Amino acid sequence: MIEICNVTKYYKEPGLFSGKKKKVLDDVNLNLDDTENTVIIGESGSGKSTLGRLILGIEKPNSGTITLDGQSLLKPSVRQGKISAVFQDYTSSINPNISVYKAIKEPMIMMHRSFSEEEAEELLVKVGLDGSYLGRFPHELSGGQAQRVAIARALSTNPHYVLLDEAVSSLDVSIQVQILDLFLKLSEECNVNYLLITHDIQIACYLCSRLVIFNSGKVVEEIDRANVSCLKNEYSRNLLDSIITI
Amino acid sequence: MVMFKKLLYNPQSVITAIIILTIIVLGILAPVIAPHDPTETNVAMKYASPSWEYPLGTDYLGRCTLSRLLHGIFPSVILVMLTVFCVIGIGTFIGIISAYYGGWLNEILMRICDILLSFPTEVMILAFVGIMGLGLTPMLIAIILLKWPWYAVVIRNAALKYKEKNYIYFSKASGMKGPAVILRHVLPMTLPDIILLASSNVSSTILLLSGFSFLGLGIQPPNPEWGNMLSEARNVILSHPTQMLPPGIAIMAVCLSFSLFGDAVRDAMDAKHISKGIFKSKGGYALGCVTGSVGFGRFGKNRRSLSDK
Repeated sequence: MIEICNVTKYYKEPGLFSGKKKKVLDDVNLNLDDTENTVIIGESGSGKSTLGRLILGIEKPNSGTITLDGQSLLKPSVRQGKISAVFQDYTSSINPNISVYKAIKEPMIMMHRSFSEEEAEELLVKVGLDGSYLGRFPHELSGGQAQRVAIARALSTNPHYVLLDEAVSSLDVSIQVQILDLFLKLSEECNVNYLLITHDIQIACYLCSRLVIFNSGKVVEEIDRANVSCLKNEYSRNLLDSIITI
Repeated sequence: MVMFKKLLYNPQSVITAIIILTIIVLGILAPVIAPHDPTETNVAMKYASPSWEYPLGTDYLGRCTLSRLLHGIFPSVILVMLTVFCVIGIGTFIGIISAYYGGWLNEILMRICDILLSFPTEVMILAFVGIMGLGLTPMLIAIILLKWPWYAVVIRNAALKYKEKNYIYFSKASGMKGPAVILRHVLPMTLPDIILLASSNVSSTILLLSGFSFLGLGIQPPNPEWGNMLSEARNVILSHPTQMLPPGIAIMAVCLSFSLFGDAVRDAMDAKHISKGIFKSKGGYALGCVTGSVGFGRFGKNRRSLSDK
């Protein structure tokens, strides 16, 4: 279980002697179960991606702790192989100078594990691609293919949690559904839990069973998908009402 | 491998690399292959025309122009390359560290750069040479000390573009430490910028050094150096204009070769230039209308919009 306790994060404004700080996360407390997929939902600038970066250990909180099974996630050894991520911008998800095989292999290098081309091919097949993609470079892939490669890379270490930071937002609508179905399929096949960060409540409800609603760096409401129509907080209700109907 | 293949099939890189390598080899072998001692004078043969004995003629003291040109490669090109290597090395290290770690380290390093950049380089080199004395060594040390901040700032800006990329985030999340992320991702991504800078800097440093030698501040006679040779030829520009040609052409050829080679390497290192398809589309947009571009992945929507820009 990932436990987020009293986490506060602020960013200092640029300048050596600048004392101004902007608070992005304000005393966040959250428990992320390893039995269900959870979504953190909120409008742009609400601090959900910052929380994602803190969970991934990319940034450090100014106060509070984030632990995985009681151990601080700031230690790389705690994160390695247990938490992985798929990001929104597929164009910058993979280093343009390295091939698909090298990209998928990268997390294994950090864990000093060998990773053959056959294993990489197996992963690609799982995400709906094939071995012919191993030698390709990112610019030779479409958005959906690049995101599938990013998913394969995220799954290469058999993680318990995969953080999906707006992972389908920049894809075509048809590809979005394919990728979401792929996530659901992999969740069962690979026994992986997702922590989805999104501002799209439809995607949130499609993939996750638990919703955490974020506003101005604070958790305003936590609710199960089944009770999504019974939101108590006004902001949460407004967010739900704001779904565009075509 | 892909990069080397691309360089191998690009006439620009092949020709310029051959020129640069030939010049370097000639410079290293100068003591063996030069027909004469570059400082040996023969006043009876001054301003001699090209002959078998003196393939490029002689100068105002009857010294062999070819021998001086060959011996001049070492200070004019090889030492300059080593100097640029040091400058770019320091600049790359400071620039990438500053960009990647940010915070107070970035602020301190960049303020040091700002202070050093606030002095005009040429004037500071003159001041440095004035304190340390005339010669090549003080000049090269001055160039290293005064030029790295400019490269640190430029390389920092190049590295900043990649700092926030998702593959960097992923590597950090996977437990990769700062130096490993820099070596695996940031440095290779900034390498095309660094190579381009290095190639243009070799040219500009050759010109700078030749300029100072031309003014009599660099290598002191009778030691051969291309700028020095130009300076000596300047005195007889009307009576013996051909004296300007060997060092002038040599400087131009080397500078041009480095610049063109740098361009070719930069293009070869850019993965996007390995594009396979040729994109053609027809159609226009009406003013005042919002036009949508709809299609599946890999259908070329983005390329269409890019080609319209």
